[in-house]
Amino acid sequence: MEKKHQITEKQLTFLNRFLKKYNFGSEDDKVELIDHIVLDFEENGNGNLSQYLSEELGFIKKFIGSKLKVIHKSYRRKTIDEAISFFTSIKRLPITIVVFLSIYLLTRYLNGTVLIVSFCVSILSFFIYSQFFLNIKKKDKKKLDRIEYLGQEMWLPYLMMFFPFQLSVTADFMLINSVFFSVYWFVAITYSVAAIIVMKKEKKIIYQKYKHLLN
Amino acid sequence: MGNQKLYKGSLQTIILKLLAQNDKMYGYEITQKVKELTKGELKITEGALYPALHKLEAEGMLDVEVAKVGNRLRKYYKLTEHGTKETANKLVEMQEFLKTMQHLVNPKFSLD
Repeated sequence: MEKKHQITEKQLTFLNRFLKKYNFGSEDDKVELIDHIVLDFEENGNGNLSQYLSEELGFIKKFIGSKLKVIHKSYRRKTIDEAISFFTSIKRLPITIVVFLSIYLLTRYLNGTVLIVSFCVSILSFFIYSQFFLNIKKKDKKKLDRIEYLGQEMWLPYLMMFFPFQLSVTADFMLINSVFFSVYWFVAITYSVAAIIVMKKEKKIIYQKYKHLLN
Repeated sequence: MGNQKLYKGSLQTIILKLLAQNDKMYGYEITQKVKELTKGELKITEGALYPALHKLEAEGMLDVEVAKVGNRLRKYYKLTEHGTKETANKLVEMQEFLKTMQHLVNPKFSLD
């Protein structure tokens, strides 16, 4: 790789300030972006860093945007795979059946108010556990954008908890139809547990892989 | 320069293959290596390279390592165990694909 120019300390400080000012990504992104920009600028730039940055603005924005999309998608995929494994893994299948039967029995024999309270408490307890005990410290979220997305899958069961009670028609339908209610409740619980398992695994990976950023 | 669209679906395989040959590489190095190996025929743009690298990393095929180089940090990518296995699979798939294409575009000529 032939260098046309050598980036100066002043230009490097300018680049750091530029990425910070426009809030381009986390510290992890900046490591990769700065290295790429410096190398490309030294090889292909004309020595004017501000001009180079204005030409590369599209790439910088795309770099951050596509990375966040990939992270978000990968957490969702992993959570769905984990949830599917409750039905496909022979080890987990007996637990899945027991949980579903327990939920079904609750929907059959508990009265309306107790049933709704039990449903909300069960979903809320998983949500609270994930947000307070599994999330990574706020200050670390600025260092690594994958932390920002870590607990996001927990919002789906949380929203599922509110959805039936937005309209009295859906709430009444669920209370009358115990099979539908138990399936709905079961899906919310399964997804919560799957998201918690993924959070635990990913948290461990983050601390191993990115210790240079988080320590 | 050939039609870049034809290479698009092979980007992940190219990255994995390069990483299998070189212990660890950083983004810019990958673009330059591809340019050098293909004598400028194939240019991987940064807009295509980084999303592919981040996807492979999210899928657990690549590991990252950060090292200080001069006055700044550099992020290196290297294959994980899963990535090494997947590279072999993807290369087999690629060879099968090339054979099929060869049969389609030039039925008289075979790679066998």
